[in-house]
This record gives sequence, C-alpha cells and structure tokens, in this order.
Amino acid sequence: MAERPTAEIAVPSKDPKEKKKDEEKKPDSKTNGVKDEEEELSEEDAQLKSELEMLIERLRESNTDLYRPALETLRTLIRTSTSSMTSVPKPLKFLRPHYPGLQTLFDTWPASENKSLFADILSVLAMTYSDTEPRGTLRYRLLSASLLPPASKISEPGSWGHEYVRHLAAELGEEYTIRQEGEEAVPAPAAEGDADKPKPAPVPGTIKDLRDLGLECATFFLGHNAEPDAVDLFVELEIVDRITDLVDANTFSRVCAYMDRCVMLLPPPDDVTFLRTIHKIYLRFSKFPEALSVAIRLNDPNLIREDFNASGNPVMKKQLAFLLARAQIPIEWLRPPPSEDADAEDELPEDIIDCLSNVHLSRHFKEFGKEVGVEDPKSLEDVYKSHLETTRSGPSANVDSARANLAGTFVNAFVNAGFGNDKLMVAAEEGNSWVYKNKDHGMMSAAASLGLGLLWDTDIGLSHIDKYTYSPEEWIKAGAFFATGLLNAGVRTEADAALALLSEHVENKSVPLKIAAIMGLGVAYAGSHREDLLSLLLPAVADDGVSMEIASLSALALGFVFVGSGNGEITSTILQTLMEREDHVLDEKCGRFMALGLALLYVGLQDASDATLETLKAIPHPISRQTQILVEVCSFVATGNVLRVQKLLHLCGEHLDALKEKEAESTEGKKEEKKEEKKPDDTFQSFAVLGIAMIAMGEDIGAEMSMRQFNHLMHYGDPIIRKSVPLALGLISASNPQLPVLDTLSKYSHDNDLAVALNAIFAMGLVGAGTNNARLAQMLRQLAGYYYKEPDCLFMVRIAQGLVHMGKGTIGINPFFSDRNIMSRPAIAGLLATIMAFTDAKAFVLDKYHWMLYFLVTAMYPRFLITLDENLESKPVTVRVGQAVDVVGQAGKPRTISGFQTHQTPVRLGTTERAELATEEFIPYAHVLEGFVILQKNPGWEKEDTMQL
Amino acid sequence: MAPLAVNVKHAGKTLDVSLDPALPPSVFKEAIYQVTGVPPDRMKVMIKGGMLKDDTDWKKVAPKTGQTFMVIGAAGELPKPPSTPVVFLEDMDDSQIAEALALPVGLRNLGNTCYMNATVQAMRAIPELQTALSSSPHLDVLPRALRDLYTNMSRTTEGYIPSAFLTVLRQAVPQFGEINRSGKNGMMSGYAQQDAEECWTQMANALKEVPGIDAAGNTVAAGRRFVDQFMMAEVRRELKCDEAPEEPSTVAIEKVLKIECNISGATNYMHTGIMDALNSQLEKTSPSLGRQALYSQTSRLSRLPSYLTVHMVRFAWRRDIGKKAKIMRKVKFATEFDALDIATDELKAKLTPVSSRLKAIEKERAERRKVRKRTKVVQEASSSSSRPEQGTPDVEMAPVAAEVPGDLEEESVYRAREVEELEGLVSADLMSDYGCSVTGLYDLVAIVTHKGAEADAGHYIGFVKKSVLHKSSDEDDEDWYKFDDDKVSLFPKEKLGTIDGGGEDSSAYVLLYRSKSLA
Repeated sequence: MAERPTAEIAVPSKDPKEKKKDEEKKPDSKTNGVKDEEEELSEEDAQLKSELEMLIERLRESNTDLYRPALETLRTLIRTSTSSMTSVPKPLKFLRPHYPGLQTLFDTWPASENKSLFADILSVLAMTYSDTEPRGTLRYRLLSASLLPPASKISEPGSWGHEYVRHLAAELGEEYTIRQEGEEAVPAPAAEGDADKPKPAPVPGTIKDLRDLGLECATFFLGHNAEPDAVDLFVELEIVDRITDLVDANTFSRVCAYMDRCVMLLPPPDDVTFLRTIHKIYLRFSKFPEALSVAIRLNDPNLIREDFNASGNPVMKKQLAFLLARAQIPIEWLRPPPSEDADAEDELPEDIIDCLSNVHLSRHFKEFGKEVGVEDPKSLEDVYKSHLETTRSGPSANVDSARANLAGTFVNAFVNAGFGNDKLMVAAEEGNSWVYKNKDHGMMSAAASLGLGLLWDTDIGLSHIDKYTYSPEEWIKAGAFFATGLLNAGVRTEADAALALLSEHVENKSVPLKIAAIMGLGVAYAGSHREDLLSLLLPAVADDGVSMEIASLSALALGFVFVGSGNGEITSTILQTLMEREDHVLDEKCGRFMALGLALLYVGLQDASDATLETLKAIPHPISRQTQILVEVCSFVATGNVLRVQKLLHLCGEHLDALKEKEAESTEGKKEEKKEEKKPDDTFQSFAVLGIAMIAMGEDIGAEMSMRQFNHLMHYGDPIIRKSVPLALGLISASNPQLPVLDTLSKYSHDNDLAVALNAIFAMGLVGAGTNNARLAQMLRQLAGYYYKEPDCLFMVRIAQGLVHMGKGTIGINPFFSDRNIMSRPAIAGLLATIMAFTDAKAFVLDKYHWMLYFLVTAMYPRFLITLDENLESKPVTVRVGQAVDVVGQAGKPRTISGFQTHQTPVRLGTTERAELATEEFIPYAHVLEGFVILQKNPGWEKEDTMQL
Repeated sequence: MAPLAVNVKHAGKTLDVSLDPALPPSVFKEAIYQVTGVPPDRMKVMIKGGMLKDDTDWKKVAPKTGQTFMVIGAAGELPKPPSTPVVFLEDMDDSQIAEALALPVGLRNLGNTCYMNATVQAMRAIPELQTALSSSPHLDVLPRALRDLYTNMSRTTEGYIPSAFLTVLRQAVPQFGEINRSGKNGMMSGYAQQDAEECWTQMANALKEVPGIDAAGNTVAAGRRFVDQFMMAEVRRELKCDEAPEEPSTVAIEKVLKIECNISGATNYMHTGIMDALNSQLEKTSPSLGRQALYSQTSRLSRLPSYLTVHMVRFAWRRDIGKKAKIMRKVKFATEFDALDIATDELKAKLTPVSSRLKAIEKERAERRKVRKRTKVVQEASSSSSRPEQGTPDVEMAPVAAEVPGDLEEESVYRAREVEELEGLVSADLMSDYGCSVTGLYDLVAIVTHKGAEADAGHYIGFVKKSVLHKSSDEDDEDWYKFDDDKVSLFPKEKLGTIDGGGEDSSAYVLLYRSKSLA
C-alpha cells in the first residue's frame, strides 16, 4: 500500500497541463480510450487524471456556481468508469490521493445541496480508505442524506454500482454492532478504528436511518441475485423479519433456501426468528407445504393449525395431512382451540382424517414392497448367509440355542417388518409358532415381534395378535400386549384399539403384563400428546408403592407420548419422584429411563427446559446429574449448538478415577469417609457422549466435526466413554452408511473391550438400518465368524444383520425427513430409548430387557416415494433419483441431484438421496418428493411427440 | 326400538350385522359370531372409549344406523405350544451338550500317558478295528482291553479314565512301564514319557492275533488276521548293486505296518520324504565283487492296505550328543495322498484305471455339491420350511434334492451309477483281497502330533477327522477333532497347516491315511 501513493504522486506533476485543454470531451474519449491500444491507454489515464484534478481544483475555488457542474462531472466520471472485477476503477484510483484534502474541504463547506452531492461522492471515495478510516462510506452516505432538503431524495445506492452497495452493507453491519455494544462500552468505536486517526469522525444518523439504508441496500441485492447478501445484512441489523416485504415471486425461494440453511448456524433466539420469517414468506406466496414444514419444525400448534386451514384446496389439504402424519403431529392440534369451540367448524372430512392418521400406510407399503419385488418373506438364513461366513459356528444343527433363537426372533421381526407374512410368527404353521422356540422372557420378545411383522396393519393385525393374549404363558401374553402397541406405532385408528385393549392392563398385578401394557401404550401413542393417557400412566410414576422399574418405564412411556410437549404436570411428577424416592431406589439401573422420560418431554424446546434444569440441581442424588444432561441435550437436539457440545466434551474429559485418587491422597486423614462413596457414578459421562451426537445430528458439518471429537474420546476416554462412543456414532448417522463411519465402527467392533465391540456392532446395525448395504453385510458376516465363541457378540451381530436388512431394505430409521429438514420427535424418542438400553447392555438388552430393541419402531418409516393422483390412487410416473446436492446460495439453477437414475414410482430413496419428477406432465403438491406425494396434471403440458409432429 | 343395521369391520372385511339396542351386548356379539366366526368369549368389540363389555349399556354407546364397529379376535384355534417343549442349549449340562453336539470323549491323562491317549484316539479312526474287536469271540488280553475301552468311550460323554487299558498295556509291553528316574527327587518320579509311534507299533503288534472280518463285518476265523487285512502293506524291495550292474538284483518281499518318511535337510514335503526312504542306498558286501559295494535299494509297495500309516521319522539318534533328538523341520503333509507313485508297476497298472476315474468323479461330485448348495439356499427361501436353522443335512438333503427342478437327480442315483462304473474297473484280485486299497488314493483321517523338543518329553495330541467318527456328517465337513487328553475340541481344517512342524509346537508325527472308498 505504501508504494502506490508515492508512485501516483510522481505522475500528476508531469503532465497536468495537457489534460486541462480537452476536459469537456473526457467522458466520450475516456470510454473510447479504454478500448484503445496500450500506448494510448496510459495517455488516456493521464488525461483522466488531469481532468479529475482540475475538477477538484474547481471545488477548491471560491466560485460556488462551478461546484455543481464539477461535482456532477465527477459523479458521471466515477459512475461511467468500467472496470474488470479485479482492478480498482481508474477514477477512484486517481482520486484516492486527494481524499484527505477533499475531506478537509468538505468540512469547510456550508450545508447545502451541493454539499450533499459532495458527500455522496466522498462516500464513494471513502471505499478506498476503508482500512484506515473505517465506515467512511457510510458516514458520508448518511451525511449526504441528512444534508438534503426533505423533499428531494438522495440517489439510490445502487446507482454507484454493486461494489459500493456491498461496501455500504458491510459498514452498516459494523456500525450497527458498534452501536449496540457502544451503549455499554463507549470507547468501542475507537478500539475498532485505526490508531492512526485520532478521531474517527462519528457516524451520524439514528439506528432507524441505518436500517432504512439497509433496506435500500437489501432491495438492491435482491434485485441483483445476491439474496444471501441481503439476508446477511438483515441479520446484522437484526431486522430479518422485514425481508418478508421485500421478496418477490422470483426471489423468495432462494431467500428462503438460504435462510433455511442458516438456521442451523444461528444462536438460539435468532434461529426461531428466521424460521418464523421463512414461514411468513412461504405463506405470503401460498407455499403451504413449505410453510407447514417450517411450522412443524417450530413445533407451534397454532401455526400448524393456521397453515393447515389456510389452504382451501382439498387435495392440497390431503398433501398437508400426509406431511403432518409423517411428523406425527397430534390431530388434536388441528382442531380449533376450545375458546372458539362455540362455532366449531365440526369434524374434518373423513378422507383427510385417513391421511392424517396414516391409515393407508400399511396398504401402500405392501404394494410398494410388491412393486420393488421384496414382498416374499425372508428367512433367517437369507439374512445371515452363513454359508459365506468364514468360520463355521461350533454348536450346530439340531440343538436350539435360546440365545440364537432370540436373535432370530429380532432378525425376523425387523427384516419382515410391515409385510405381515413372515414364516416364523405371522404365517407360522399351526402349532409351529416360533414363540415356543424361545425361552421365558424370550417369549415376550417373540410374541411382540408379531407387532413388527404386522406393523401398521390395524385391520388384520390386531386379530392376529389377539390370539396370543389368551396364552397361559405370562410372557407370551405380555409380548402380545406389547405387540398391540407396536403395531399401532405411527398410525391412529378411529376405534383407538390400542388404548381400548391395553388400558385395563396398566393396572395388572403381573409385572411383565403391566410393563408390556405401559410400554405398548407409550409406543402406540408416541408423539400424540393424548391427555387421557396422562391420567392413565402418571399415577404409576408418582406411586411410591410400585417398583422403580415400573415407575421408570411409565415415565418413559409418558416421555414417548408427550415428546416435545414440555408438559408441566408430568415434569413436576417426575421431579417429585426423583426428589422423594430413596437413594438406593434411585441407584437402580432403570432409573435412567425415568430421566429419559423427563428429557423426552423437552425434545427440541431449547431454553424452555431451564426451569426444570434448575430444579434438578437441587436433587442431591447422582441421577440428577444424568437427568440434567439428558434434559439439556434433548432440548437442544439437532441444533448444532457449539456451546453445549463444548460443555459436554468438558464433562467427558473428567477422569473420575484419577480425580478420586487425587482426592484420596489429599485427604488421607479422612480415609474412612472416602471409602464410603466407593465408585463415583460415571453414567452421566455416557449420556454426555450421546449428547454430543444428539446435538450435532441433523447438520452435516457439525456431525462431521463431532466424528473427530469421538475419535479423541475413543483414544483418551475412560471405559464408560469408550463404550458410548460407538452408540453416539450410530445415533448420528442412523440409516446413513457413510464409508468413514463404517470403517471406524468396523475398527471398534474388534475392540478388546467386549462392551465396546458389542455397542459398535449394534451401531453398525443402526448405521445400516434398512439399507441392505452390501459392504456392511459383509463386515457383519466376518464378525459372525470372528465372534462365534462369544454368545453376546454373536447375538448382537445377528441383530445388526437384521437391522441392516430392515424391511428388506425398505424401512429406514433416520429421524429426519422431508429432505432431512424436519426432525421427527417420536423417532428421536425411539432411537434414544433404544440406545439408552445399550448404555448398560449387560443389564438391559443382554438381560431380560431385549424387547427394548423394539423401541426403534417409532423411528421406523418406509423410505419410499409414492405418487398418488388426486383421488389418492397410486399413479406411476417417472422420477429421477440421485444423490442430493446442496445448491443453496449457488448462482443460477443448478441441478439438485447428481448421478441420478430414472425410475418408475413407487421407488425407494436412500437417506441422502433426492428425487425429482422426470416429466413435466405433472406438478407435485408437495415441495419435497418423499413419502406420499399427490400429483396434479400440468395444465400447460403437451405431449412431446405431438409437438414433434 | 327396531334393530339397527350396523357394520362390523373384522380382519380387513366389513360385514353387515343388525344390532338391537334393547337386547344385551352378548346378543350382538352372538350376531357377530355368526358372520365372523370369532367366538364371543374371545371377541373384542371396539366402542368409543373402550371395549364393549357384556354389561355395557347400549344407551351410553348410542349406536347409529350404519355405524362401523371394529371387531378384534381370531376365528379358529388358538396357537398351541408344541407337544414337546424345546430344550435349549443354555439349559443343558455339560454331558448333555456333549451328546447334543456329539463331541467324542477324551481320555484322562494318567501321568505321561498322552502318548497312549493320542494313539488310542487315532486308532479309533479305524472303525473296522472296532467291528473286528467286538465281533470276535476270543481275544487276547490287550485287544480285549482295547475293545472295552472303545465301548466304554462310546457310552460316556465325560473324559474317560483309561486305567484298565493302561495296566494291560504295561503288562503286555513292559517297556511302557519304565519309570522316569531323571526327576530331581525320587518322590516326583513316575512313569516315563513314551514314543507314540512305538506305542502305535506295539499295539498293532498286540492286535496281530485279532481275526479278520469279511465285508459284512463277521469274523473270519480262518482267514487273514485283521492287521494283515487292513493295516499291513507289502513292500517289494529290490537291491541292486550300483558298482556291478551285471550282478542280478535281489528281490525281497516284506510286510510292513507303516511307511516311513525320512526327513533330511531337503525334505519339504511328506511325499519327497517317503520317496527318500523308499529309494535308499546302502553298503554291503557284494558277492560278485567280493568287497563292500554301494547298493541301491528300491522299495515299492505291492499291496496297499485300507489304512496306511505314515511315520514321520522325526526322532533320530544323535551320536554326538548321545540322545534321541527331534527334527523340527517343517514337512508339509497332504490331506489327500496318491499312493500310485510308491506302488510297484504291476500294482500301479491295476490301480490306474480306478484311480484316474475316481479323481474325475470326485470333481463331478464337488461340482454337484456346489449346485445343490446353491439351490438349497433358494429352496429354503421359497419353501415353506418353518425352521431355517439347519437340520441334520441328511434329513434335509433328501426332500430338497427331490424338489430340485430337473437340473439334478437325487445324489444317491448318481452314486449308485458311479460305484457300478468304478467296480467294473477294479481288478479282480484286488477285489478279492478284502482290506486292501482298490483305488490307491488316500484321505488323511488321523494324526498324532508331538509337541516339544525331545523325544522322551513333550506332549502328544491326537487328531481325528470329524467325518470319520460321525458318518452322518456333511461331506463338506472337513473339520477335525483335537484330542488333547480329556480336552476335546473342534479343529478347523484351515488350521491343519499349523501342525506341519517347524517349531516346538505340535508337529505331525504319525499320520493315518484311509483309502478312498468307491462310493
């Protein structure tokens, strides 16, 4: 920078005289000059330079009449100067040395219209001094505005060109920040500015002026394909909501896409503002599916209801209903609030209720299965492919191993889920039911597997399960109850069968039956927020007389039903229980499910959980700490909140054993005291690890970064942390088998610590759930050989194999849908509850609580795209399916998918895949092609071959 | 009040029923029973807010014409438990597991008796021996003791204590009663370790008098002895003087129990070791030259027994240290051994047609097995079999094979055809000599390994191929049993390479080959 001024000073002294002669012609000759040869160019430059200097001279003279034309000429010169993207426009370059002089000159002028014009020009020149005199552009711009008589308007900032507006926008942001902070700290501007300048002239104007200017800039940006700049400027000025009025039909979608992508990266209050703004924009342009999906993300019943009712088109309503059904939004939310109940616009039409309650899911899923050729049931051997395993397993053939059969139960349940035709349970020959191939508590899982086999099939399934409820064997009965609940997961029936069948057993004397009924209800009504379940299940939580097991599971069931509701009554009851119960009762391992039950209430509620967290701090028992972590991570699930992640990492970094030793050393005298609290409870660390995954999930970059953290934890963590890391990996990429994750898990699955290996194997199942990933299947087969002597690990390998082939590759468990934008709360609840059972696998999954694996059912949903016509009949069309590409903020209209293939619907979609219609014949009602999509005939479409003719 | 026409939804179907609100709900249930077949006591009728009970008041339900009730319940039988409860592996005690898994029993070590245990186990791989022992009425002491040992072993599932047999063995072969005096104090001394090969030979000798059997398994009192039939090879040794080519070679026929595999510095494969031993050179007085001359002795087998024992000559007397030293060298042995190279030309001529044909047939068999395996997987997927865990292959094989569409006939059909073809190729005199090998092709069935550096120390372990002990097993099952005294475990065939030798760990010492059968 230092060189340039000296060089330029040398130039003007040489030939100023020549220039003066042909000052008049300058504009024309200059434009020509640019195109001329190099030789002339430098001469051209010299001319321009002398002209500019002459103009400046005029401004210094006393003849005020000449000011105006001089300024006008200057302005024209600057505006008309063209330049390439990389170089400074010539006039600016030549005027730069005069800037300080002009500044002093400016200060001597009296206020006038000319001064305003002068300020305007100085504002442009200030761009070249932005490093030493920050915010000069903005200052003069505002001065210029203030000097003008109120009647006349200052020229649009856009008239100075794009670069100027960007500059202005940047300075606006800076100035705004300084002002916000300056209120507390006066010297802020000085600190920001350069030390060279003794007094950086204060920027005039009020906040309102700044914002008005911001609006002008944003309008310019929006008109010039720079939507992100406009949004960024508004963020800095904290007036994001005002963008709603600026966008038009051409720009709104890009603005929304960009804002949508920003939400993840914003601190708490802003992200909600963003979402609400996006929502408003979509509503303004009648994009109901988009608006509704934002409303679902906001989890705001009023918005959802308004959006749903905003559309008058019954077909669109059906499409919205499908979206709501996928998100499992309680139907009650759509009914008008009780206050307006007087003129209640009666019930919703039946077909919409059908869509809302997912009644047709089972039928469509089976048809889809037929269409993609997987309707035939798969046997266990089809999944294990043990002839490809490297080692033959020892005990073979004719002995039934209860463990192996139990694994078989789960594999069969997951693999043939939803098709209702598996050979072991649903379509078993008379007297040959697989139930009896299981032992004791295994029978419960076996009977419950009916619920998975007949998933969503409320018509036929319930009768099928009913047969088993008459079994003399208590375990089978319990399994049948649980199956009733599983079957109803995600679907609602008019008859409310699950509630009718199970409610009476909630008070059953037998513990297994009671638990099965409670959990069945929890799973069946996950996310429904049904008040009648509250009264049914809550007493068990509060009752001191029942065991911790039942109390915890009741709390968990409530957590499922009221996931993300923040229900105060449940919160206070659970808190009460945690406070009042004896310490040794709280020590029980299933206490974590009570903590989880509480945490699930706050899924996605962010700060709303603060009060609960404070209350928890008052509980002395270690479970309080576990609960705090769970509540906090659930509140901030999938927000990518870096601060929370740091907090959790800090917790993971504690080495409890080392800490304890140190303490013991320092307090040798009080040895006896120390001995009493023998082992510090480290369960919370396990939850902290999971918490990192919870917070980072659903956002690609954060997820990727967390992988690295997990790697460190694996290296330096205590056993309890190492054990949890694979689970966290599984959680973060459920049904999304990316190679690096697979490799990492594969490594962990051979860990010396069998608990780590076990969890890693399960995580492999989660990661590959429902993908049929061949590589993963191969890894698991290899593991089956490797662990043929470890019954626990082998059991888990089998289950992982079952998960990988879930629904024969048609059902996924990723909790995010609609282009991975919306998080399904019940799915999160299910995933987390399942994983929770693995934080102490020995006590739960490997013991009698293997049925907890079925919690996954709330996360299970077909990964299909089914196109329907307006009468909800299947309508095959061609679609292109490919890897989703992030095109937000990119110029033009880039392709949103890459490496696509063309298919006929129905078609299955991978987690990171996206579909688009390959034909113009139809217009989809939905904004994202996923799940059920209703198509509308494109009125403007003409058959292609007729056009050729 | 007039009956209302309502609908019930059951198992995906909607049916019309009439409902009379004046009558109790049981009547309605009965009406539903008429159309659905669901017994009323197992019928669940869903009404708003719960289930229809027999004492429910219709007024509260307020049914309307055309209302649809959901009915849950299954017509027909309830699922019954199987007649016999399933017994699980986890519930069994050790002996039951052994029975279920059919693991053969091991023998307890009675103090340096692993040599005997290993030998006895290896000899168990000759099922004909057990037939011969049990069918013969008069037996000498040791054979009788062996017979009892084998029968007792087949009756128990826990490690067996072979003390009776040991006593007899020590009586019959006094050298095995040798006491180890090298122990540091007298108290600790016990019976000394013995050479398993020695034991093998001694036992075979002791069994000399066991009468032979015929193809049907009956004792043939008059005929040849069992050992002669099944274990004895005949060697034709031709001694030729290298220095006097004109001198006529002398031919001697000798019976041997085993063929030896000499291990020299260049021996990498068992085959070369055997050839080394068969083509030896020695010095003796030449009658024609009247002096010591170099003779080369070429031995070839003129009779191949069904069971061919190969002795790896791993222990050699080292004069320099005055000790029997072990040759650690790694010598690869084959699981399939072609004895044509070591047979005499006449025998070779007799064997060649069968042997070459059998080789071709075996290839075809393997091919068929592969096809079958593939189709079996497909079959299992589509067949209505409700038990995908593999049953015993021979049970499962038959029905599956029958269902194979056109491609393959039943395996037994092929087998019968092949056996017929092969039998036609077997030369007549070999056919008549029951107990000899008619193919010249051998499978490895048992191994005795030695672990350690010294002959009189270390540890012997027996290995027996699984398929020998369990006839029913899958043909593909190439796994082995490892008999480490009373510890019996599965030994996958992939690990056979680890007992080649080349270190102090177990290395093959005595190998028992069985002639391939025609079937």
